[in-house]
Amino acid sequence: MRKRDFGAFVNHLAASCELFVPLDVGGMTLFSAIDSSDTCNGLGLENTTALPKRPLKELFFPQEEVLFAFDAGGGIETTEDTSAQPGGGVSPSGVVRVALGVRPCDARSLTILDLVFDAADYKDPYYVSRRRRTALVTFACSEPGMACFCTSVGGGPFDETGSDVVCADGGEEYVMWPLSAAGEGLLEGFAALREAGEEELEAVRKARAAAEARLAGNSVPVEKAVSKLGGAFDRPEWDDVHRKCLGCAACTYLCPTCHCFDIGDEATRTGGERVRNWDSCMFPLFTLHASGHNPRPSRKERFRQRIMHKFNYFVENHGTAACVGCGRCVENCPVNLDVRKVLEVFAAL
Amino acid sequence: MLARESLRPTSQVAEDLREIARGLLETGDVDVFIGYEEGSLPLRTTPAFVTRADDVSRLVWGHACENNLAVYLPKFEGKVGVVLKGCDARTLVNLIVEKQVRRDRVKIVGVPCGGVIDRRKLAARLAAAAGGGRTARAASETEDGVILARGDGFEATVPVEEVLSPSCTTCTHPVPVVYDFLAGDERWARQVCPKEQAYDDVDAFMGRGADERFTHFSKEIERCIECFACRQACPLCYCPECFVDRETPRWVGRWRDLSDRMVFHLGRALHTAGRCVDCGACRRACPAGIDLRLLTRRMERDALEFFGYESGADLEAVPLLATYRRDDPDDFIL
Ligand code: SF4
Ligand code: SF4
Ligand code: SF4
Ligand code: SF4
Ligand code: SF4
Repeated sequence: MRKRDFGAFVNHLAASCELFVPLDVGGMTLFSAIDSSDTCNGLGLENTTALPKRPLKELFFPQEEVLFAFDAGGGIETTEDTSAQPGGGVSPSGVVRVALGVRPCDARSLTILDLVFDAADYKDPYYVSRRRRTALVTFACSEPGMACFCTSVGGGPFDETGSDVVCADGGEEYVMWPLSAAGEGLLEGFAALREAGEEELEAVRKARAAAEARLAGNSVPVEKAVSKLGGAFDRPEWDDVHRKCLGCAACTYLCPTCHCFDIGDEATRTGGERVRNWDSCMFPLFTLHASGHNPRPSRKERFRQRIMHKFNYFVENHGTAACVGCGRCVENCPVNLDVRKVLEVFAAL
Repeated sequence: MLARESLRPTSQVAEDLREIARGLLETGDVDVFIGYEEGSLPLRTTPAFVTRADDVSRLVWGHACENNLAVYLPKFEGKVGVVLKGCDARTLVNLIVEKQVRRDRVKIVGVPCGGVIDRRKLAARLAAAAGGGRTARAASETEDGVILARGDGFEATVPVEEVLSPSCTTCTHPVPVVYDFLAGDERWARQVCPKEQAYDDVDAFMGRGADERFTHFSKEIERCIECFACRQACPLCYCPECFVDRETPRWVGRWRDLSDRMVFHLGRALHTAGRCVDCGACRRACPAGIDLRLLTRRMERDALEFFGYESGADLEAVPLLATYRRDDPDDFIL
C-alpha cells in the first residue's frame, strides 16, 4: 500500500468497526476512538509520535469500570456486553473494535494479561468479551526508543505475538501482513492493497535488522536476573535499589502488563454501582489490613513486590516475565529509577 | 526573557560537590550524602545516595538535576548531607520550621541554581528538530547553557533558556537562603525574576473569565491518572495518611468522576498554601504534563499579597497558617 493511501485505510477500517488510534491529548497519547482519518492527526509509523504514553491495556481493562448497577429494590444490571463467549480467537465476523497503531510490545502485553484474565481456571467476562471483539493492527518499530528493551524479554521491534495484522515501513510503501483470520478480514476489500514487491520486502528486512541491532546494544540480562531473584527475597541489595523510589504509581499505572485492581461500591440511598479500578502495589493502602497491620510497611517491601511479581512470581506461575520491555516505567518514573538497572544488580549476584 | 548574568561552569560545581561530599563522608559528619548522578536516558539525572567517600565521583551537576531532594529528608534516620537548589532549600526551611526535619541532622550543600530543564519542552523541541519520528540518542549540555542532541542523521542545538521549567522563569531565590556549604559561586546563579513580574502568569490567568478558567482547569485535570507522583515528589506532602487515601470516612471517591480528581488537586493545593515555594517538582514529576502550578501559584501569591508571607524564606518564621493576630485587619475578607 502506498503511504498516501494510509488515510483511506483508516477510513476503510472506521467504516466497519469502532476504531481506536493513539492520539495526543495535551501531551498524553492515549488510544481514542475516531470516525475517520481526518481526526487521526497524520498518524503514521513514526515511533516518537505514535508510541502511546498510556498503555493498550486500557481498551480491555480500563482504569475505572462499572461492573454492574444495583438499586434498593434488589435489581442488578450489568453494564457491559459480556455475551461474547470465551474460547477460540477473534472471529472475522465477531470483530467490532480495531486498535490501529499498536506497538509490538503492547500487542504482546495482552497475551500476558490473558494469562490472568482469560485463564483456564478463571475468565473475567468483561476483559474476555472485549478481547474477543477486538483486533490489533500493529506498527513494527523501525526506530526503537532509548528506554525500549523488548528483545531482552522475548519480544522484538517486529514481534508478531498478539497481533492480527502487522504493518511495517517499506520505504515508499507500507507493507502489511495478516496473522489471523480476523486480520485477513480487516484487509479484505481494501482496494489500494497490492502484492508487495521485492524492493519493499528488502526495505522491511533492512529496517528490521537495523532495529534489532539497535536493541542488541540496549540488552538487559533479564534471564540471569530471573534466575537469581528466586533466592533474593532477603538480599541487602533491596535496601539500596529502592532508596530513591517515591512510592507513586506512575510505573504501574502506565505499565501495559500491571493488572492489580480494587473493587468498591459507589452507593447512594436508592442504589449504586459496583466499580473496579486500577490499584498499585506501590501504594501503602494496597496491603493495609483492617487490623491496621501492613505486611509491606515501607517502600522497600513495596518496591520489592513490584520487581518480584514481574520477574519471579509471574515467571513461576506462568512461565514468562510480566514485562514486555516497553520502557514506559523507565521514561515516566519521576526519579529515573530504571528497572533495567535493578535487573542488572540482581543478575550480577 | 531573563538574561543570564554570567556563564555557569557546571563541571566546576560538580567538582565542588564531590569535594564537599568527600569531606563530610570521611569525617563521619554524615552517613549518607544525597546528590545527583548520571541517569539512564539522555539528559536525565537520578538521585544518588552515596555512603562511601570513594564513590563521590558519581556525583554530577547540571540543568538536568530536576528532582527536589528535600523530599527524602522527613523521617530520615541518621545524619545526612544533601544537595539543594534555591527553591529546594526553601522547602527544607519549611520542613525544619514544621518540625519534620532537625536542622542539626542535615548538612545542606546549596547550589546557586541556573534553572532546570523541562523534559517535555525539550522533547517537543527535539522531535521537531529531528523530524520523521527520529529519536535523540545522545544529548549533553555545554558550559554556556546550550543543549546538544544527536540522533540518526540529525543534530540539534537548543538553548537551555528556551526549555526551562516554568518555575525557573519566575524564580526569586536561585541562591539557597540557608546552607552549610555552597558549591560553585553565587554569581553563577540565574538572574532573579523582578518582584513585580514574578506573578505575571497568575495575573494573566486570572484575567481570563471564570468560565474559561474552569474549562482550562477541567481540561488539565481530565488527563490526571491519579498516580500521585505529584504528591510523592513534593517534600511538603509528608502526611502519614493523605486525605485522598482515607477510607473511613472517605473524602474523595476514587472512581470515574472528574470532580473527585478536582477535589484531590484543590485539596492538595490548599494544604500547601503558605508552604509551597514553587519548586516545580510536582509538575515535572507528572507523567501527564498537567500544569499543577495553576493552583499552587495562586496560593503562593495570596500568601505574599495578603499576609506579606514568603514561604521558606526564614528559619525563624512562624508558619503562616499557625499564626493568629488580634489586630489583623482582615480587610480583604469583609
Ligand atoms: S515511578 Fe519511580 S518513583 Fe514512582 S513508584 Fe515507580 S519506581 Fe518509584
Ligand atoms: S515493567 Fe516497565 S518496561 Fe516492563 S512492561 Fe511494564 S512499563 Fe514496560
Ligand atoms: S525555581 Fe529557581 S531555584 Fe528552583 S530550580 Fe528554578 S532557578 Fe533554581
Ligand atoms: S506543591 Fe509542587 S511546587 Fe509546591 S513545594 Fe510541592 S512540589 Fe514544590
Ligand atoms: S502526577 Fe499528574 S497524573 Fe499523577 S496524580 Fe499528579 S496530576 Fe495526576
